[in-house]
Amino acid sequence: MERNPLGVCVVWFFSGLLVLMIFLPAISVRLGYFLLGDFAYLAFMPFCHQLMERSFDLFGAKLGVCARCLGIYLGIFLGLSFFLLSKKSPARLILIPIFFMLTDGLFNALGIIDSGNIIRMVLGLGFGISSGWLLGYGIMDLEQILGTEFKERWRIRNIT
Amino acid sequence: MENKEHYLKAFLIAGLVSGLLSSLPIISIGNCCCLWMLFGGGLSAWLLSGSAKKSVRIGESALVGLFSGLLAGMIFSFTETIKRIINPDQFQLVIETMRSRGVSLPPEMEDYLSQALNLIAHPGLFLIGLLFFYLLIFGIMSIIGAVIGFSIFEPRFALKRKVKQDSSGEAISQPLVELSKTQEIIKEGQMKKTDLYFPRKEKEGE
Repeated sequence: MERNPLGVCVVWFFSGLLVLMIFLPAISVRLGYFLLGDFAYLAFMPFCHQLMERSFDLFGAKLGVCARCLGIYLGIFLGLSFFLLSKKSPARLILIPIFFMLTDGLFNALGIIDSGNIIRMVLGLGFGISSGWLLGYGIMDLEQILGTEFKERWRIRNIT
Repeated sequence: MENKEHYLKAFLIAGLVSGLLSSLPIISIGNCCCLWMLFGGGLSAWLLSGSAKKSVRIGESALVGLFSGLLAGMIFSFTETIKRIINPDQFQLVIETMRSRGVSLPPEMEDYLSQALNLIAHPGLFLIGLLFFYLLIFGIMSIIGAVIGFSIFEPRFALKRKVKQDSSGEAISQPLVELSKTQEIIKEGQMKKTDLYFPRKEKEGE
């Protein structure tokens, strides 16, 4: 398969930006520009409960998302990084961390268990790394499909 | 793009469902764990694999997931802007909530912050400022949901397609030849079964 990870690099870059935005409140406290941190809280508000007891602190400021979401976004970034660096294809086992996290989330929501922040972050990290790796394959194949499609249309256009 | 004719239905339905679920007042709490975004992506993959007559590639699922995510993101952004217009006082509640979350502010910064946040509270600026961010998150999460859905649903639907093809008596000699060739290659150890769904990247220099 032709290796052309440009699309994966673009998504990797944007996932890195998301991780940076999560740490923006802590960075803004250090720099003294608090508006940056508040913008991060506002941006992530629809996607995370941002409860104080479920989030980590850094430099005295709560991070932009909870521990689980931090693990997910960080994991996606790491998963894409592993995809770009690795040459191995994943086995079906890559779906297991995804189910672990979904099960943990469901049991916590139903009140059956109460996982701590570290466990939530680790499970989110597992989910994110697996998802990021799968995401890399999806984007690489999508690039191939679009490349073939446009080449074919360009060739037909040139002929006609 | 062998299954082009099925893309529109898959991403429209999945995008609408995901966007509406993300926008409804109490149900949208599910988005706290990106649930509806992943669900939308998975739904698009399921719809595509279910309706496709030929085998679906992971890239096609990713494409449909991306479109469904973008559609859901636009619906969500639109409804959030409408909420800002209808209920501007809600934004004051947001500011108070942020203050109570323990973010310490020097007193001289509070006026500056209130002015800046009131500027952001303008519906048009709000939409422009956060639209890109919402589309990015919805897009990435929906693609993830779609590739997870592809991994789960496509093998099952591929088997159903093959059984349907065999039982309908269509010309199967060519697919069977390709299938047996693939099996031979797997037996010889040149590729693994998982490479059918997750093709390995070529090594440098090959």
